Amino acid sequence: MEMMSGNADAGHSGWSILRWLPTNRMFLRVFGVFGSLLLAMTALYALLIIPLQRDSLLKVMYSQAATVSRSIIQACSDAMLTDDFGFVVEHNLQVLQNNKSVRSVVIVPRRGTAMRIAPEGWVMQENERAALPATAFEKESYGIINDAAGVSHYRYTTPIRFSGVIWGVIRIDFDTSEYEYNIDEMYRQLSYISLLVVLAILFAGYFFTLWLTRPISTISQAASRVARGDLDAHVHVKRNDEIGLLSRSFNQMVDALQQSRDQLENYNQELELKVAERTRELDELNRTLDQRVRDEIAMRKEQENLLIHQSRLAAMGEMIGAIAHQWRQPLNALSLVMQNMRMQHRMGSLTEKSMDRMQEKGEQLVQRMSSTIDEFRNFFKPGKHPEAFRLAQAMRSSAEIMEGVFKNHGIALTMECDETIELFGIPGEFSQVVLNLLSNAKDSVLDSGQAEPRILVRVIRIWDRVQISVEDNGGGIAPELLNKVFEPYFTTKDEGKGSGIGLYMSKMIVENNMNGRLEASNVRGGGARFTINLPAVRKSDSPRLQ
Amino acid sequence: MAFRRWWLILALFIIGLGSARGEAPPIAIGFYLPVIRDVPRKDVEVSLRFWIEELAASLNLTFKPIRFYDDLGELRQDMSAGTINYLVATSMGVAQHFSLKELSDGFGGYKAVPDNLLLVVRGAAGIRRLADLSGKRVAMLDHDELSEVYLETLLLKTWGKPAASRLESVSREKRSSSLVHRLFFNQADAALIYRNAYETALALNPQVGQRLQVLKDYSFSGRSPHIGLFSSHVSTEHREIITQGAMRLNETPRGRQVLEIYQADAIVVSTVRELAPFRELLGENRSLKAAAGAPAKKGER
Repeated sequence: MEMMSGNADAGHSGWSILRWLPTNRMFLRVFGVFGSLLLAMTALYALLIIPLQRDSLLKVMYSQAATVSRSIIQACSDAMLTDDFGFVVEHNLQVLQNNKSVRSVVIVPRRGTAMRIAPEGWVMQENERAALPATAFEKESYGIINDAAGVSHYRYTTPIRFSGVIWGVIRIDFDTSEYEYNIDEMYRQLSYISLLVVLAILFAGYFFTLWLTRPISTISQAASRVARGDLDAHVHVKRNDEIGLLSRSFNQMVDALQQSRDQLENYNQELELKVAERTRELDELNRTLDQRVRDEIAMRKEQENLLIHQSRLAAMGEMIGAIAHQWRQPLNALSLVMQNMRMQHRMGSLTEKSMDRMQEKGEQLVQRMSSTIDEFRNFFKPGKHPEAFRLAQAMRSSAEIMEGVFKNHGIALTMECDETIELFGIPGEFSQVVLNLLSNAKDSVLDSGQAEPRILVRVIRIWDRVQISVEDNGGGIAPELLNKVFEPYFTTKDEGKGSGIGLYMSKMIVENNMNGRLEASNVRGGGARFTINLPAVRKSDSPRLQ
Repeated sequence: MAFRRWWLILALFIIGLGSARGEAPPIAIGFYLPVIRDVPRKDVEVSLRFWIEELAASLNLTFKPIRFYDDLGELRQDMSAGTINYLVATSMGVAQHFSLKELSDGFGGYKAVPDNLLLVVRGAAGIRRLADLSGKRVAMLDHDELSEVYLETLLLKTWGKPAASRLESVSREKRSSSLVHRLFFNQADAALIYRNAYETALALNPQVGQRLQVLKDYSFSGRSPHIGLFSSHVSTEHREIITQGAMRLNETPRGRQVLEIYQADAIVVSTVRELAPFRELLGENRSLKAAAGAPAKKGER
């Protein structure tokens, strides 16, 4: 019918009852359920059939009692009406002789002495009337009773009526041994049925359960073998039901697993080859790793220097632009001084005094221009060591550099800064950050064509943190670009205007050198906001400034 | 009771025949039906035929079908013609219809208590002696020749003339038990009842003994009012073979079983001499009737 192939279970493939009974839990469960159901059905059948059978037997007894009673009354009617009690006794003795199930007949006339007739004899009894039920003269009664000796009888009592007149009562006691025998027989038959059911369970149930569970167990064992890695395990269940389908599906699954394993082995082999190759490459790489690392570091250093250099060049560009703007006014004034000097000379009004005044004026202008250069030089003088510095001063330095540019373009710069706030870092780097942000804001408001361009610099201290925000009304940054503005070489400006490294360098300075954060966002009303978040310096940390 | 007893006799008889298998001639039984009173006649006929055939087959005997009779005259004619060679009948009936030369000894059941004929009276009827029967209701068995002759003889002795006119009524019942019941329930004042029937009635209802009294007791040597006899045409040798075979049945388990079932104590030889008391009673009756001027009954010898 079905079998499992493969060598692993070859020793168990033979059919063995003992092998199935104790070990196969599914078999035991199905067998148990099957047997329990049959036993339950048998018990239910017995519970239902016993009362019905009892009722049926009682009805048979009732029918027999009623028939015997009617027969006696009919046969003795003339004798009863003529008080021929001899005939009544005679007839009933004959009834008792012919009907062994009748134990006694009691006839109680309405007037006269009762007669009790039994196989062992008959007698006239006065007290029989008193022993009758109260309703004996009105209606029949019947049922099984136990006499004083504990012997059970089926007692039937009915009035004797002639033409509607009640002549008396007849009471017949029947032997219940046949009834009890039938009941015993019924129990015996039910016992036999139960025994047959048990045998049926043991026999049919065993084979049925075996038929049901064996292929499943076979598949289960094969699955266990498959689980242990034996993909040669196949089951051959030649059935056209779900179990047969399961068997075929199982075999297909095992075949698929076998194919997968073959492929996997191929992959593994390929992978091992690749790993070996990669290992060789890695070994080679390890051998040159130090050199590569040094080369990479050098390259990164070079790129960083390049970035710094580019940053400085950009800053220098900015500075040169700023110097140009700063110098524009004193140069104009110096030109006017020179023109006044020429005019006064031509007019002959150039005196020693006016010459001295104009010389002084010119020297002042040149000094101013020179100080501008010093300022810028100082501003960009690279510091080597971090130190505490006043934030407002650094902010103003940056603003003053951009002041000329702002005035030239009519940009309103507003600064709100607490003079007492101090930061810790390299002031030049921080000023460069502020200058980058101001320059960025300037470009933004100019590019947006804003009629009233303005930049707001606000410094807020929140506990031990300082938040510096630079806002403009230049239209803001496109949301999709907010995460990109700090990337190196990223710029939205026209070619030649921006290097794309100002914000990157600013973020590097703030976050790497000053332990802060630099973030970009948009403000309501159309503008960008760059926020620097830095730890503030406590008074106790900066005794030198105090 | 009578039915059982005579069935016993027949059964033992047939078994006895079996013991002499191959030696006895075919037996033809004539059965006088009034011998059995407490069983319907048809039942008697069917059952007797069945049992006898069964027993005969088991004993490998040659057997003629049993014949039943209501009239002893016919039975006698058949025996004279050789149609039957063994009879079972009432002793008084045989005494009335057969001469002793026509019969030979046979066998039958023996009871320790003889089945006497009793004249039983109801205590409330006020009968203290036979003369008190005047104006009373008397009951007896139907077709019972002994009761008829015995009552007639008693009353002839008492009054010296035929008694029918002195009695209020004479009723005849088919069963012995009916006689007791008629007396008990005041439907008769006196009745002729065989002892076994009366004692059975006493056993069935002790109140019977309180209400009834035995006035006369007629005993006879045969201990039974019935008898089984061979025809005189059956040879002595065959009768002895069959009778000896029957007697041995007292010793066999099957025989004892049959005796126990039918309440007989033993099987004994019944002789023609047992008819003597009946014949004497019959003779006395005839004498008294002759003295009283009454005619003899038809068929009486």
